[in-house]
Amino acid sequence: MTLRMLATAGLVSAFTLSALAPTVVAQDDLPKLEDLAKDRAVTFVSAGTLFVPGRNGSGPRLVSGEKHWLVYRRGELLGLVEQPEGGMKPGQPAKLLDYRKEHPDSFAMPGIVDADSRWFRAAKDMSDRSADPTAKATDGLETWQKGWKELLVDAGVTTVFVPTSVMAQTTGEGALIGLTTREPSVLADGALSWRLSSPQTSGTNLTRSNVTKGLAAAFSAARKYDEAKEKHAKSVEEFEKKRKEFLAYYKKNPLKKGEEVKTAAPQPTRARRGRLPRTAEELERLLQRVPPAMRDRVRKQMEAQMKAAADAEKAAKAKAAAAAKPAKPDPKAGTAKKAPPKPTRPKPFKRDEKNEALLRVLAGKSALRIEVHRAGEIKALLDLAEEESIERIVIVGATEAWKVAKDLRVAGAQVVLRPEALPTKGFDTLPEQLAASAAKLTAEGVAVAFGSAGRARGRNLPLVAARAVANGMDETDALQALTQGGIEMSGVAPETSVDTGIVVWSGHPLATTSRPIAVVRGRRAQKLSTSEGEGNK
Amino acid sequence: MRSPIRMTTPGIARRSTMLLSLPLLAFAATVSAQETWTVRAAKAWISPDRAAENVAIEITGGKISTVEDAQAVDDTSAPRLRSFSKGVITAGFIDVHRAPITQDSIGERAESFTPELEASHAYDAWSTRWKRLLRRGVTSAVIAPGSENVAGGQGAFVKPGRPARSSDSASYLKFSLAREAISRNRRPTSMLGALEILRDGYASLEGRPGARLTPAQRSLATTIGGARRVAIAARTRREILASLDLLRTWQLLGCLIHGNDAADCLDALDADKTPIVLTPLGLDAARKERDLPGLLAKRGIPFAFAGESMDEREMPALQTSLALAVRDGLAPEAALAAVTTTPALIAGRSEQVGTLLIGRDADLVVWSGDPWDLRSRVLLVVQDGRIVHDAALTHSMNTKNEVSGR
Repeated sequence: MTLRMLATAGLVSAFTLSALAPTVVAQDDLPKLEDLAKDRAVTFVSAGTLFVPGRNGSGPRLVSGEKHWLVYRRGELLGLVEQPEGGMKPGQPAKLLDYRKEHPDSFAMPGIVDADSRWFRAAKDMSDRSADPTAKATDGLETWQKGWKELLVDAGVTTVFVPTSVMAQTTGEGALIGLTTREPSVLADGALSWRLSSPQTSGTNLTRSNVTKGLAAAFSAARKYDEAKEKHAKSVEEFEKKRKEFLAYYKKNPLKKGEEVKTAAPQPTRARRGRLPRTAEELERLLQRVPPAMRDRVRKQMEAQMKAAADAEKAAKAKAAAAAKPAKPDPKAGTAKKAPPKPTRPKPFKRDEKNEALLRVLAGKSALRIEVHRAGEIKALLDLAEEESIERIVIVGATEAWKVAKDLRVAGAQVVLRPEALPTKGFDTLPEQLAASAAKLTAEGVAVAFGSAGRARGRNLPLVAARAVANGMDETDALQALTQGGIEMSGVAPETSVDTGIVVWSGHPLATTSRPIAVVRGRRAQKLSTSEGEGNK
Repeated sequence: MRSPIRMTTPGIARRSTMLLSLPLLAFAATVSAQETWTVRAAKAWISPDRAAENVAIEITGGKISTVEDAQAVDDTSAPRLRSFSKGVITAGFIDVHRAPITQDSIGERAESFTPELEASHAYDAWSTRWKRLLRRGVTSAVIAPGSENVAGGQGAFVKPGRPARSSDSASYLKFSLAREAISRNRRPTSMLGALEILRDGYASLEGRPGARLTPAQRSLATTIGGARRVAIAARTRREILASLDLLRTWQLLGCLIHGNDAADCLDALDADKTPIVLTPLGLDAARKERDLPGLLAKRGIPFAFAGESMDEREMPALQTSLALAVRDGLAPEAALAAVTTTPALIAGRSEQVGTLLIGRDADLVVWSGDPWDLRSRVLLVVQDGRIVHDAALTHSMNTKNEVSGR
């Protein structure tokens, strides 16, 4: 399988910008068009229709490509610029890709994201119930799997999110994998996945009423862990300070021959288990439990130990009394500073990945991605999120999410919808139900994304979105769910930009008759044709 | 006693929706099969190879009486008019091989050779579940015996939800060489045994003109010379080739049901152009399954999709099949033929259904876009001139129920 490069084709070779008349930039936060045109990293793309997904508070935009261009720089879709009067002209460093002449009905937008895929993971790893938060999806990627190119060629899917495991209750970070390169490439680490409850987990401790208990306990443990971590950080800081003082002192006052470094008083050790008898009566009582033949020998040993212990105690008391007395000032020492004791380094802190991930969630740096299905459990989860002040919640599966759509909107939760084949009767999510659910959730203002929960099924994502439109979902919302929705719900930090490339379609991406015709990544445009996907089978 | 309508601010909006839909309610309630009325849309697929823009179709007495340019229709002069400015009209879909509502109502388990049974006797026209088919644009169907019997009986051409007389509804005779027909508890125990039963059945008719025939023999006799079509369930290449051989030997007019391995015996199918009834394409269909419609179309072998899902949580199976086939390169016209004209041909009802030609049954569907586009939804379904599903009405009824809290 090789992707033919369009960069050498006549379509784009002649286009670079020369002189651009001053123009109105469509978005306030974009640099000026003149500056963009001078940037070699910038690619301008135009097609019959352009779609820019909403991000960081801005809404999605669907505009005619007649007078607009997409601005794409270093893997980031910056936004839209208006075409200057007289059109874009060649000659400047920025690249110009115009599909309007060759494909008047073409449609350009970022690549589709499969928000819950099973690509590049071994089936055994995915069903590993013992996976823990230290297991990361990137540690076990099978990039040599075949057939993934079909997703890009048939359905314009350029990015997939793969979780670490789907059977374990808590797993490590998933990964966003890009499909536009020759080999699959890791674009970003995603959220840690939790699986609190589903009809498949019957019999575990996290079903029904225990669902919030488990999560609440996890967050409580994470907070304690954070306190311990802070305490340890303070003790390390203190140690460093004392160490500096200690080294400074001995640099100034080097040790004389035979002199020893003063060490800090040893920490009181815990009493030994099974203390020695203190009195003769106690000793006799103890000896009653010893066989008569051994009594004399044990008595002698114990008495010796008791004597040694009593002497040591006496010595320690005398030492403590001596230390308590103020030392006589040494007239020779004058104003010399007292030698600081050698500080003891605190034991290294044991890092816990699960708690670290939960702390990232509490800090709002990462999303809490949880598989939950029942409406009651989703509601309980939202209540808990409110108590714990969790900002970003992503619910995966969410069979009954539409029943609590209002609560999801209030909590600002996001939902990844995917087809489910759950064994419990009535809980399997079939595609039409999924599409209807997406329409209901977006109508209520809840952000959704689509996942395939499979491999080849990823090519159906535009079809599922099309059914959602048939069920009443707005087309712009459907495109948002297919693109930026998947990135946001993978759990990456909001400020992180993930390069999903720009896919140019022959028509509207949700129309059955449309096909992806090219994918733009960096300054390169790759032509897509069905034969390319077949070669990868 | 019905609870009073709770009016909130959104409720007022809902009430206005209800008020707007009142004319629709009145229209739907008064349209009867005998009246004349017109449906107008931006586009109509008169037949799979003929589309027309801005079309008005006049319906009289349950039949299509006129198909004309919509601009020629005066809004005021049209007796009753339903207009869809962006709608697309197609003939009603035909589900040419579907099970009755209850699975066990056809299919004699004790015997494998029951060609005299009639599926029309197991058809429950009054089941409310047929509405689910209508909502998905299926206005005609052939109720077929299952594939468990070597000769299962006679299929019944019906209009879902409407009573049918067995004399009017006779359709193809169903045979099966598929593995379901083979049992350890009764004959046949192999595919060869199944083939032998069918051959013996036809052989028993030879040289007996005018002789008194058993009901089973009478049923078989109706298929000789192509008077009635034979539908044979055959999945594997072996079963398909055996079926084609049987059809050739006894000069039967046939069609194959399932035909999963048809791609492996295209040459054999090409010789007779035997139609194939394919299982609908699902989202999880394998590449081989997805490519089959395109391969058949390339060879000019007629094929139909059959088996619409009655589970409303499933995507509409026929529409999805069209969409997937078109996405994988099949021409939209060929895809549309697979749910309209080809199934009409297989059911032996080409002169009655499958197109929007004058004189055909007024079975039509108004879509919000092309039917192979999954964004399209069914707006209106007309069966024999009656509106059997109206999306606008359904929406307003749902809204009404929400308002009244029912």
